[in-house]
Amino acid sequence: MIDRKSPDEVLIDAAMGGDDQAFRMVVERFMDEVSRTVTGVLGPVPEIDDVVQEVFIKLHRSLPSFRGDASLKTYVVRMAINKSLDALRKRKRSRWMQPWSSEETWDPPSDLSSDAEITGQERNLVLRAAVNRLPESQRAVVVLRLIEDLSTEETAKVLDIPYGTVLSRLKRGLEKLKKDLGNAIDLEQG
Amino acid sequence: MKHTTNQSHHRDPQFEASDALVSSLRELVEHERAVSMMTMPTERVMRAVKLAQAGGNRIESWLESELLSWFKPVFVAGAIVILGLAAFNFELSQQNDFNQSTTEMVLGLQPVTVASAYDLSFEDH
Repeated sequence: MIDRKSPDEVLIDAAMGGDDQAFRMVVERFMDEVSRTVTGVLGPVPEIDDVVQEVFIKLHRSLPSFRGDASLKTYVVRMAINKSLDALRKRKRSRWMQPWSSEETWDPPSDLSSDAEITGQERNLVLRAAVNRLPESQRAVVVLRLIEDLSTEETAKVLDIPYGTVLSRLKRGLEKLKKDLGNAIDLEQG
Repeated sequence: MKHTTNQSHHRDPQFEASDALVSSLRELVEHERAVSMMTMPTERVMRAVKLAQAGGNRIESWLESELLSWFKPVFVAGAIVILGLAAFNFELSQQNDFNQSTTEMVLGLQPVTVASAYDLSFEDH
């Protein structure tokens, strides 16, 4: 009988055998998913790069324990969301320990000029503030379900929670988002 | 990569997110990612993975060899000290006239006598 392996398994086998190119392919393949998930949870903060790196370092270390029960994407996104939530908790702890932390005042570099861009930036600030006000359980669901566009089943697998819990958290998260956003964003368009 | 609006979320009847909100959230994250992340992330990740791998292996093997090299002499020295103390206690206990058990002699326990029980010295207690 021919042992047919999925492309994921072939890549993992090669990476575990010390093939740097194979692991590079894994990194390139999932960089968007990981960086979007991390950014979605944390926002535009300087530690995004560090968290993304930690996700891939952890992935590299845990490749031998990947048994293929879930898809590699689910496995990687689960690591990304867990690392992001860890970083979020760490940030909250450090803010509590050091209320004068400069993290809140960090601004991403920008060279906006036109009115449209300024309006876009204001809109983003309002939206980010609303996302940041979500409890972390709802934020994780909103990020995975709406931003990362995972299905409800995939989201449930990634977060290891029941299907119904994903739906209820998403519902509550959306209600809170809409309430917080008010009229800042025209939610009815499109 | 520009993330296109997928309509899969409309499969859930409970889901009432408008396309405008979903698009806004995705645009927000794409914008934040673009301004926050440094360039060439794959190269930096590969470098970090190699460093972590090399560093991790080095630390693990160093710790293992250090623990092994320190454990043996510490164990031997500790065993010699304990045996020496036990022999000393045993030898000392044989010189008195009290009827002690071997355990009491090895551990160097003081014999409990009627006189010592009634001795109300504050220094001993």
